[in-house]
Parts: sequence; structure tokens; C-alpha cells
Amino acid sequence: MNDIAPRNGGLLAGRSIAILMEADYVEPELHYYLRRFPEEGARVVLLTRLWGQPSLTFRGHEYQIPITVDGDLEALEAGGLDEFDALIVPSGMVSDRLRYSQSAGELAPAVRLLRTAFATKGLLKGIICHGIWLAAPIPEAIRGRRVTCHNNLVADVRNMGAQYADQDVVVDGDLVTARTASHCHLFARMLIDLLAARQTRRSRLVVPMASSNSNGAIEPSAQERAEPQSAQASVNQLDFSVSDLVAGYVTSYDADRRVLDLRTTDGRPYRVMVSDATTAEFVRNLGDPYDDASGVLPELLLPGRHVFARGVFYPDSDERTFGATGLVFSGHGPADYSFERPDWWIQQLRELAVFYRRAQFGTAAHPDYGAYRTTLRLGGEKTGSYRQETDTISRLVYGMASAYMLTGDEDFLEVADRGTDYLRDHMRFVDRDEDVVYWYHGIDVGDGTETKVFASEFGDDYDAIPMYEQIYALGGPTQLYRITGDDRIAADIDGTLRLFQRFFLDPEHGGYFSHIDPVHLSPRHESLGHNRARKNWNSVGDHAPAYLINLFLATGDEKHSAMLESTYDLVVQHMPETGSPFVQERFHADWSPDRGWGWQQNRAVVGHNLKIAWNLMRLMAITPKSSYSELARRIGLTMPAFGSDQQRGGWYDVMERELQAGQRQHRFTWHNRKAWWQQEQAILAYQVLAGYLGDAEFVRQGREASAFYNAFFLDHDDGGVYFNVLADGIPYLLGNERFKGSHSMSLCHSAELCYLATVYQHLLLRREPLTLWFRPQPNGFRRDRVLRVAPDAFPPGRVRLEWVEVDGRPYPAFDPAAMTVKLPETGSPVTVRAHLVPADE
Amino acid sequence: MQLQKRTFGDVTVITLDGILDSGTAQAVQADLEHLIPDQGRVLLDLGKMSYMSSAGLRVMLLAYRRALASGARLALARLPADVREVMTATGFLDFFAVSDTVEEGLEALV
Repeated sequence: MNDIAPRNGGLLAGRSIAILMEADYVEPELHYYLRRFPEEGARVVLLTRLWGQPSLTFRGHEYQIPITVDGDLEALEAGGLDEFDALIVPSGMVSDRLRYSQSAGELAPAVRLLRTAFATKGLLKGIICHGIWLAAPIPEAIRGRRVTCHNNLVADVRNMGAQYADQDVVVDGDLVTARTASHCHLFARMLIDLLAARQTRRSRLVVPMASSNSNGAIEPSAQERAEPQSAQASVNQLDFSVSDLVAGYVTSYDADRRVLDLRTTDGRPYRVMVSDATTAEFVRNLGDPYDDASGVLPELLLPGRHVFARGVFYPDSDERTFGATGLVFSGHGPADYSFERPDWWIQQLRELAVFYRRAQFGTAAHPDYGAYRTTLRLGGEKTGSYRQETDTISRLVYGMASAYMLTGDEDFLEVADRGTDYLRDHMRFVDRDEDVVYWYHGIDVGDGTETKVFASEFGDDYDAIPMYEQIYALGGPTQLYRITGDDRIAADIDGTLRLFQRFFLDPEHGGYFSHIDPVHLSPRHESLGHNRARKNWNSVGDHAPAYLINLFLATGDEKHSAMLESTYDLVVQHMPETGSPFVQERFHADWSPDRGWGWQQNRAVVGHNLKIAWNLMRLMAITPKSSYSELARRIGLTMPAFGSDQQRGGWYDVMERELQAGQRQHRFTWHNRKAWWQQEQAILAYQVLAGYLGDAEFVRQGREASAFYNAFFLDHDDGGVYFNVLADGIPYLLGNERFKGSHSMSLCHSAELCYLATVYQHLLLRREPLTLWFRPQPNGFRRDRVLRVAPDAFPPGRVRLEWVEVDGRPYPAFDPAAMTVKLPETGSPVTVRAHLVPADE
Repeated sequence: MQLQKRTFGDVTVITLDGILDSGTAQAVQADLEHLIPDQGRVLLDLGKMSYMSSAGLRVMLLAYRRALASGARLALARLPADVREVMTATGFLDFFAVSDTVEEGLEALV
């Protein structure tokens, strides 16, 4: 009997959680659930086999505490699970008692209920400790799925065909398992996070699952019996051949019959027919030759290996045949992922930087920005356009500066340096009346003349100064400032920050407006139209990743950490909403949601959610707050089910934030293509989460995102990365998406990915050293003559500076823990190499 | 800052006399809103302007946009050397047709 009232208005208000019960339960565990879930607003219902009684009272394992149960699981079997959001099989001897049946081999009612639960995709199944015994009579339910359990039962779950993971809590799609009753709090917390992210029970799908009765014959499941067969009358049947991609882990390979069995990331099985015509290759980096794998398939197709299978589904029977046309392997050895090699992302950044260097400036010894053009074709050729957009130059500068930090190649530094000079000379507007700096949208050059383009000409931002462009105008110069400490850059950054504080800031409700009008510098002027008095994700949250964290790393200035904190407090306060797994991205001045704006309406950009997650974790190193890590973790746990493609790998673009009646998948707004920068957000979100929290699930998500990106986005023919690929990874090369220089392509995000993936992979994930390059000017970092070499905002004590070289000689004046170098007084720039190592924990 | 309006045929000539900076910009802005006609042609005579700051540049941008929106044609005449310099350096001069005298400006607008 459970008389604990749920809290009104909690995260789980209106949700119901069923817990199976029997004698020998673990008292602290059950008592925790009975209070913890109601605390979040959920109703808890205890179920058992009542044997015809109105109720039964069970005594606990340790203290013989009685609990009376009046919920009858046998009464639930036909459709009764629909009222629940989650079903929990607890620790202790509950599961063993519940699998009792009078006739040997007959499935006990609780086992049949569990089987129904497993067939109900979307009903969360929580199994902890010895609870997994209840699945033993129906091993098909957990075969191939990732689970954890009590140490004593590891062999049992392996015998059931599950993949044992040595973790306290494991999430495999809609199945959550935990190690022991002592982990019941972690288990409950995970269930709460996952339930909170699910909108309602209506997104549930019942999947008929073939099962065997005691004679071994196939019988239809309860759902199949219950639901009328309407196949003959149905429309839109997929009974034709269709080409597609399957991403998964090998579960077995029969080399004689050439039958390959895979499990997708969310645990669904696929059978792939390999043939003589199937090509096979290893994922390769930019600059690497084709790496054939077709000769060694039996040695490669070992259980656990990650592989992409491209092929054709044929409608031979209800179980379609999938004939592979090509395989792409993510690494050479069983646990090897090529993109985790120490030099992978560094090489990729070098190749990208060489591509843009050549495309913009040819082979000239020194780059001439007069020749720079924003629009580049697929192969890097220029078009008839004479436009130079400010933020695309800034992004190029960011990429080149980052490439210098990782490679020490001074050509990249010169491209960054001259680009910053060019921005200052041609794109900068110094408003002496207001004592602020802002940046033209761009300039048109041609025939020796130069026409300034004052305000944005993008449709979204027409005739306004968008915060987004001003933010990104700072991105490149700030990254260069980390290296050189150039005073002139600092002055421009400070002037632009004054623009933000004086004209974009909303002192009344907090945060920054997304646009101001160029004449009155007002966020509320009529001429702004639908951008009048608005705030959005970019105007508040994008400061941190675009320049502000880097500026804080370079200066250590508390006013920058204060701005970081205030912007992310607003992100945490206003952007997550119950009712959608995705954050709300647009707001009116008073922070009421704006769901009518332009193309955004009530839609989500998947990558913005992920970007919030990785930047919240970085802020944990600067202004730590539990609300930051909680939201980051929740986004990390919930986003794969909604924003990623669990069939093919990769991450989607823009999606509807809410389900409509009859839908069980959130709709794509325009298409199901995958933009390269969304992949960047996923890779970084999971690498940063894994780096901070060490969770194996986050490691896996990061790997899978990296695998898709490196397999399908690198343009091995022309250089650079593709803007967009179709859902199955084929490059989408039409219209604007053939370009490689636009505001979203110009070596900013692709370089940011290479830089941060290098940093996190080396120092936090694989615990390998990393050497960075800097080149401070003689007057650089004038305030204190201190060069700050921390590659990113790391948790305290995780990384230290081991040695420093100045102009090739060992240099002693540095602080290993603070990762700072006291610069020598010199008359010319010096080259500083900083060797960083993971610290002993 | 004084604004004076004269009409030569269908060309409106507006003379700006004085300093155009953050102190006067708002008033000048409001005056220009009234003085720039819908359609027709407008010549801004800057011969008596002694100083233009960034706020002044924004006023010029407003005049340009106001003319663009209403379908009026807009030109500048008699730019003092330092005003011309600041407008050139900041790219604002590219928005306008420019002439050395009011007479040339009137001809250019025909």
C-alpha cells in the first residue's frame, strides 16, 4: 500500500511508475523509490501476483519490514501497461520469486508481463541487481543489448546473450540497468532524467516480438493476438527495394555463408548479406589514400566492432533481405577507432588549413586579403562575387590561429595575423561618440574600389546589426590574441564588448538582444520588424563558444567569467522546458517564449541543444554550479533518442519541438539531411561530457558521432568538408550547399572541432600529452606579461604544464598548476612551446 | 545645428549648418524625417557643416534609408574636407552622389 502523495507540478507530474514486488525485497531501495519518484511528481504503483487475494503483505530481506501490495500484475496483462511510463524490476529475491510457475517451463505471469513490456518500445524498463533474473526465461528480450547487473550474475546475463558493461548504470535505448541496490539512487536519477525528457506516453510503439512457447513453436505475442490484422488494406507499405545505410556493432559473422549480424546503437538487430561485390574500406583522414579492407573481412568482422554497412533492402519477405554494397570500418583493431589516434584531428586541421590557404591566396608567399572572397566553390575556386564578409574572414582567422597552436606552422599564423589586420583596416567601425567598436557586415571589392556593407543583408537579419555577426567578428581575433597578446586586438575586443554592454544588453530582464538597428543602435526600433526586442540562443549563449571562454583563457579577467556566468544562468533558467526534449531558443524581451519567429516557429536546432551541453560543462571549470552539470547531463542523456539517427548514425538538423497526435517521431522541419556542424556539436558534447564525467555511455556517443563525421563528411576529392550529407551519408551537393567559404563553412567550426577534439581526446579522455605553440609579441599581454596556455577550461587539477620552451630552449618561469608562463622581456616575438600532460588524479 | 530648406523646381535643398555630433544628432534626425519629401529629389548641402562625428554618420545613413524607402533621390554637395575624409574612411560616401557645388548637385539630380 502506497499512500505517499506525489508533489504537484514536479518534473514527472502525471507520470506513473510500476514496481514489481515480492518478499525478500531490499528495504532501503524500495523505500527510496516510494519517496523519490513522488518527490518528482510521479505516482508509484506496486504490482505483484496476488493469487486471487485482494492484497498481500511482503517482508523485506534485511529487517523484515512489511509492505502491503494490492496491485495485481495478472490483471494488467492485456494492455494494462499503457497507464505506466516505466516498469521497474527491483533488487533482492523479488525476481526469483516472481518467476515461479506451477508447471515446469511455463512462463510465469510476471515474466509474460516483462515480455510485453519489452515489446512496448517507449515504455521505460528499469532492471536493477538480481532483477535481471526475471528476463532469463525470455532471453530474446535482452539478447545483444548492453546491460549491467550484480557481479554474481555477469555470467547469467552473458548466457542470455546480453553485452555486459562494467558500469553502475547502463542505458540501452529504453532499457536501464543498474549494478546493485546500493546504486538505486543513481538508477532512480537516470530514470527520472529519461522520463522527464519524454513528452508523453503517446509516443509509444508496440513492436510484435516473436517468442517461443514451452514446445519451442513460434506463437504470436499478446499484442499480435490483441490487434486486428489490417495489412491487406494498408497503404504506404515499404515493399520495394530501397538503398540505405545501417550503423552498428558486429554481433556475429558467418564467414562461410557471409552473413553478418549487427546491432544498432539502440539495440535493434540487422542481418547483412555480404557478397563478392561488397566493397570494404577503413575510415581515412583528409590527406590519406583509400584504405582497402575487403581482403580481411573474416578477421575484421569480430563481435563488438563498429561498422557502417551501405546496401539495398529487398522485399523478399516480411524480414527484408539487406544486401551490402559497401562497408566502412571505424578502425583497424577490435577496440581501435582510427580517429582516436593522437595525430588524427591535428592532421585534419592541417589539411583543412592548407585547403583554405590555397583557395583564398594561392601559392603567394604572403597572403593578400584583397584577393579574399567569401564564396568558394566545391573545389575552392572563386566565383564572380566580390563580397568579403567580416565574419567569414574572422572564422578563417580562428581556424588558422588554431592550426598554428596545434602545428607550429608559421604560415598559418601569418594568414591569421594578416586577416586580423585586414579586419581592423577594412571591416571595423570605431564610433567615437559612443566609444564603441562594431563591425561592418562586409565589403564589396572590385576595380580598386571598396563598398562597405553596413548592416546584414541576410534575410533573417536584414537591415539590422545582428549580435551573431558581432560575436563571430571577435572569434578569430580572440583566438589569435591567445597566441600573440596583441594590444590592438585587445582594444578592439574591449570596444566591441562595450557595444554589447551599452546597446545589446537588456538591463531590465537580463541577457542580450539579438539585433539592434544600425541608425539608432536600438533593439526596440520599429525598423527591426520581427527582430524587434528579441533574444535568442545565439545572442545569449553563443558568446561563450565563439570568443568569450577563449578570451577568459587568455586574460583570466573576472569580468569575462562574470559575463559567462550571467549568460549561462539565463540559458539554464529560460531555455529548458517541460513538454519538449529540446530547448526553447527564441524569446521576447521579458523572456516569454517566441514561437512565431520566421523559420524557427516552435522548432529546435539539434546542434544548439548539444552546444549548450558542452559549454555548460566547460563553465563547470570556471563558475561551477550543479544546475549547469545537471542540464548538460540531461541533454546528453536524452538527445540521442530525439536528435540522432540511431539507424544510420549521425545527427539531424532542424526538428519540430513537439509531437503531434499520431506521431511517434519528432518531424524534420525541411529534410532529414545532416549538416556537418551539427555533427561537430555532437562530437564535442559527448567528448566534453565524457572528459568531465567519465561516463562510458558518453564515450560511446562521442565515438559514434566521430565515426559518422569522419566516414562521410571529409571531401577526399577536393579537400575541406561537405556542408551537408543525406541521411545515409551521401554528400548533398546542390545549390548553396556546394560552397565551402560561407559564413558557416569558412574554417571555423571544422577547425574548432579539430582543435577541441585534439585537446579533450589527448588530455582528458586518452590521457596523452599535448604540446601547443604560442608566439607572444614583445608588448603582448601587456597587463601582466603572463601567457596563459591552458588549452581549454578544464576541471581543476586534471591537466598541468610540464615543460616550456622559448625559442627552442628550456624555460623555467612557469606555473605548472595554473598553466601560465611569465614572459621574458624581449625586443621581438618569441616562439613558446607549452607541453601539457594529464595530471595524476 | 540649423537646418534650412529651399526648393529649386522639384529639388529640395536642405542646408546643414553647424556641428553634427551626438549632441545634435537626435534633433537633426527628427528634422530630416520631416524635410525629406516622399519621392522627388533631395540635395543635402553640407557646406556650412563644421564637424561630423560617428553619430552624424548614422544620421546620414538614416537620410539615405529614408530616401531609399520613400523613392526620393538623394545627393550631397559641398563636403568640407574633413567630413569627406571621415565619410570616405568609413565607407558612407559610397551611398551618395557627391558634387562640389549646389549648382552641380542640382544638375546631377536632373
